[in-house]
Amino acid sequence: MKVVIIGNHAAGISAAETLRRGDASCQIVMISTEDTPPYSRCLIPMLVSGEKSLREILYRPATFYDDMNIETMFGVEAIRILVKEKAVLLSDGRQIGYDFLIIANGGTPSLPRIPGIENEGVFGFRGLDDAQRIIEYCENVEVVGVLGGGLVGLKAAVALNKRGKKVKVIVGSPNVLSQIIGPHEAGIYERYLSELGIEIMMRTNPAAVLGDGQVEGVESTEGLKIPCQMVVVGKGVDANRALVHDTGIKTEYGVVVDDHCRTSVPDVYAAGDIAQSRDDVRARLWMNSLWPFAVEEGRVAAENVLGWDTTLRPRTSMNSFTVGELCLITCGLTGAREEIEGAEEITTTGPGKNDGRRFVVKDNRLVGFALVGDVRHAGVLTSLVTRGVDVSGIKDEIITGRYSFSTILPLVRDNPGKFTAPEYHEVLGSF
Amino acid sequence: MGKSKIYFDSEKCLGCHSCEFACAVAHSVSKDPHKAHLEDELPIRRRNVELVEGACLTVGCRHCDPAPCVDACMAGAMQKNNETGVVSCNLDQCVACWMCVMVCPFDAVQPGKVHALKCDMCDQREGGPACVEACITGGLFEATPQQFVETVQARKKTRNPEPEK
Repeated sequence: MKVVIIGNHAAGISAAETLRRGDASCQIVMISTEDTPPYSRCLIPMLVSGEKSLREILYRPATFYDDMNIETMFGVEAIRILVKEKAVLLSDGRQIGYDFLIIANGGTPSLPRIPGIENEGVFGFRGLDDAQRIIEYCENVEVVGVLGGGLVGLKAAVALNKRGKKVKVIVGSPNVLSQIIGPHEAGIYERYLSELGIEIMMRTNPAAVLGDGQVEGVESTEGLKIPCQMVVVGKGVDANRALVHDTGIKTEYGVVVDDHCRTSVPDVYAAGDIAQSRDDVRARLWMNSLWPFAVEEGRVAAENVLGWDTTLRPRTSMNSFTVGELCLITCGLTGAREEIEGAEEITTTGPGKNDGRRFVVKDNRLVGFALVGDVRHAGVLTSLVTRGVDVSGIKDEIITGRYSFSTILPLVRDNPGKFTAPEYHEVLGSF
Repeated sequence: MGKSKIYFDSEKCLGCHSCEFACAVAHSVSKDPHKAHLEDELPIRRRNVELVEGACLTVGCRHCDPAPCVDACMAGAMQKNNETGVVSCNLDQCVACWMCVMVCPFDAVQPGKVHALKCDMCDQREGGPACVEACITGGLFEATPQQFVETVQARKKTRNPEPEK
């Protein structure tokens, strides 16, 4: 059996590990544009901030590919999938045949189409090459303009702030993290970031990057000129779909996959940021690009290649974000990104000055939450959101923050069809 | 598979919290019950005894397979040992991102001051898991999943004996 994996990050590495664990002899080929040891993209901010070295952001040994007996074709791009021939066409003209294919080639930072965006000194914030170029370029930079107040933008802002740069975050929305939290929780972050010395400019949209060849500033749509010598863009990621264009592999925002991570074409799987998969709260396909899902999808894709017939866990949007001592965990519909008809939104503050909670309840179901500050026991709430169980009996405990696993144990017992992991049976078996 | 895990029998639990105390001591610097509570940073337990519907429950890490926290770990710190089945957190690698806290369905990973805290099956401890050793009633015990299923089934049988013909 020959399995070709396109991509060597969270999803691709997870798929390769799973395959090797399940089948010592199968042939595994990994294709990637990057020729790097297995580093963690999520730790890129710590490389840029100077907290960690390249060696320290490796999440598997540098000898991983040899240890796992993986053939690597690195430094080339997979430009097209030849479905009929069961082969992948590479940028250097070679064709690599496969029995099974796992597409895990991720996404690319999307840059706004504004004048001057091609200037020297404009960077995305995703891969190792971005980080290395940022580190080199920012040596002679005093002020950095960050476009976007989402997770990527804020991570870039905090990293460059730690590196000693003056950072100005240019945010279109009325508050930071507007896709995942409301103004109430965002205010806690805005205050915290300001205390670090990061300037946040809300309701400001970039119209142009200034400078003749090199970045000299950003001009807003209202004509405000913001001087800076470097621009980092955190305006979302586009799935790298070009290689499946016109192949019959179904795409929407990404490559559409089912519960087994199968695409619409036999023997072709997709995993990670390229994949668009089920969202149990929204009850539709959704781009939930997140490390935990990438790893899970890579594993599930590989397990199905091995014939194990496994499926993805219940899932929805979620994220965890920590700056210094300030933590945030969000899950499901938080009422920030989309209006939820008929939902009740409950927000609480305290006891600490940086503690804030938001719960969204609809039809007696917890459909989302955001915890700022105290994030303990978050996983218990996550399991309720993703499974859509009736929480009317424990609503008070939830909104007053008195929840733990014992709070939900009766729900686990009474909803065996929803809490299916064998580990739940272990706990119930003894209760 | 003969990998052993910690199981719990609610009928034998008195709610005495001995398991919590032993766990905290086992994860202290001194490992001494008389000194542990005097350390600069109070040792933190990785197991909780709580009341549910009038009975006691002590719950800790289930060392899930596959484990959501291992999938979620962006730093490669949370790893499952495929030989022993133990899920543990490599403290040197943990970056305190709390992805594990976000996904753990059993509330068994806590955000610590500098890294995630969870049950490590006392893998460095000679006598095995301290909580099991401390449980005077045998409410906590080590068993393989197969042995546990047999125990549960045997109990069901004695409670609901099949009607005699």
